[in-house]
Amino acid sequence: MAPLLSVQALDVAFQLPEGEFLALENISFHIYPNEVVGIVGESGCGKSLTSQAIMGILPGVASIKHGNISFQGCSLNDLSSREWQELRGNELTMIFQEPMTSLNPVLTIGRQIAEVLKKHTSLSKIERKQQVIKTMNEVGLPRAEALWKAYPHQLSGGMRQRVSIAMALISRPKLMIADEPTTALDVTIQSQILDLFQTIKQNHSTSLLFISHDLGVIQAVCDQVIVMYAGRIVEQGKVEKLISEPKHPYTQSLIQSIPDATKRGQRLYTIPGTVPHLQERQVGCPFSNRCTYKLKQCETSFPDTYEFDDGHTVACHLFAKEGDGN
Amino acid sequence: MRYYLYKFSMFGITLVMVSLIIFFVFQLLPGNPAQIILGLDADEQQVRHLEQELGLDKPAIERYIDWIAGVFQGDLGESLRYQLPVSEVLADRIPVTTSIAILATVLTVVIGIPLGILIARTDGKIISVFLSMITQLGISIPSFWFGFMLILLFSVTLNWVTSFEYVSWSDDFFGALRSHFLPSLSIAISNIAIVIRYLRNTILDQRKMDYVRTATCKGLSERAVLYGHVLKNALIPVITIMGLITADTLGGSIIIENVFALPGLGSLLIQSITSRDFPLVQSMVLYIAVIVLVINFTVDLLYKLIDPRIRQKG
Repeated sequence: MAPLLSVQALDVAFQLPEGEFLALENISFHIYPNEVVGIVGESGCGKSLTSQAIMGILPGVASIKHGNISFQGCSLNDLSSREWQELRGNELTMIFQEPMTSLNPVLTIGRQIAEVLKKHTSLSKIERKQQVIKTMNEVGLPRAEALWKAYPHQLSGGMRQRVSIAMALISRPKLMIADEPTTALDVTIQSQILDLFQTIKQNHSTSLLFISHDLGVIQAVCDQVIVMYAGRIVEQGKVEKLISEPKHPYTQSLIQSIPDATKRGQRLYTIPGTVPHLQERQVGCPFSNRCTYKLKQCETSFPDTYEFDDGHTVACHLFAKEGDGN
Repeated sequence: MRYYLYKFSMFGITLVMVSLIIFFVFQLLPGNPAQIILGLDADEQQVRHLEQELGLDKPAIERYIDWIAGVFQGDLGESLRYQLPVSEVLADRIPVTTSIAILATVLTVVIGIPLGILIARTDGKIISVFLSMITQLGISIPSFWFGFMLILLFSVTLNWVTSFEYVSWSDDFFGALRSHFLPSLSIAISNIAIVIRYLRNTILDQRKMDYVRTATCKGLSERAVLYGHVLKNALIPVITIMGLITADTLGGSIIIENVFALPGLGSLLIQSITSRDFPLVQSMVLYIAVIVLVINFTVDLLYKLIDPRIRQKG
């Protein structure tokens, strides 16, 4: 089966006054139809930047330096702005983290959702409204008729996030990108929204790229997981496999830091140190200064990617076979 | 309903406070209106006599109460200098200033808002630096200079408009339009520059907001995002500025009225202060205060119209 989205050897650089810095390096992954792929990593790992590169909404100082992103077999790199407009909101949609600010405060909910249909379909005003009400019901927004005329400030955070999901879902996209869709919500709402994603996964033939810093959340919705660290992919594989047999020391630490019932009463594991800043990244493996298994070569070269069964890959010197290490 | 009741009682209190303050400040000014009317040569007897005639011999408090009681009955008193009812003096002047203010406000909105949008759209290009410099000049140069330049251009060089004669609307509509246009434009130029700069900045600020990213991800063009999403948010603070500008022009501009020889409120205010024409000054200050309050109230209503968050709180 051909992948829906292919990211190949993607490098994204930031032009800063101090010079040019690679924020994403050699990012490659695929998303197949109906697949839910998660990207996990701490803040500053390049998760959101990856999603922005796919949507073509990189901030002004960032640009694609190398590599290719293709969607349904077409390269997105040289799309004209008109072609982008056709694609965005239609076959490729996105949900953002901040439900408080991602909706326009002075426009009604109904108008903001219906706008997607106005742009991408030739439905009449009445048909659009019917479609919006249907989608609002589907994402669990009660009293859709009344909410049609409401403004964002009248809704709770969870409801606003449902509105964002309705906006992203209404055009029946091929791929939805959800950038930390549950992070800003409190825990009970978070689990309701995760349930909603599960329902969407079952009822729609849409692929989903789900970005989160929380491996627990990723585990709940994703088929495939990509672990990112300091702008690199360090491990990817099937979610069960990656959780049960994590290879990379960073993935292992992330799993150790998920709270669960068996760890009750114990001090929760935290990874010492922080992600190196963009300007502070050095040669070698960026995780080496936080890694308990650090080898000599970790400081001098970034490891190759080693493949295990079932497409499980890891970029770590620990897995170098004899003879091909430095 | 309670909101409007509250607003109107606040109106009343503010107006009484304003009239009290201006009355007592005025008492501190040296100079006797009777003396000014009669000239320095007049003898004490004559001055006394005129003072008595004008009611100036009564204590200040009594005069204030007399005047404010009159105001409540719709009588603003009599001008000391013109020896005419204040309402009549004002009725001559207010239409002049008001039509200039309205025309200037219309020009400001009609020219300032599209240009502000245009300049925001060119942001990042060389031309935007150039346009910013022009608006900076527009703000820095005083309006009377524009007045002189416009007279020089339109009436001296091009001979299109014969300035310096005031034509009222009832006499000749197009003639009046012509005589109002240049003063309105010279007042409007710096206001236009202010609106352009302000709108440009708020548009650029709004463009960084998350909802803009959401709108872009719906597939909307940059144009559709600007007109459908950004503009309504960006206009909210511009309304405040427009309110201040409009209230300011409705009070009359002394300099522009002098440049164009217009019988407006600005020149009247100066004359009535120099002649210590207390009832006239007091009434004009009251008029200006009413205008400011009405404009502020209108701005509030516009806010409610455009911003649902405020609508709910009210």
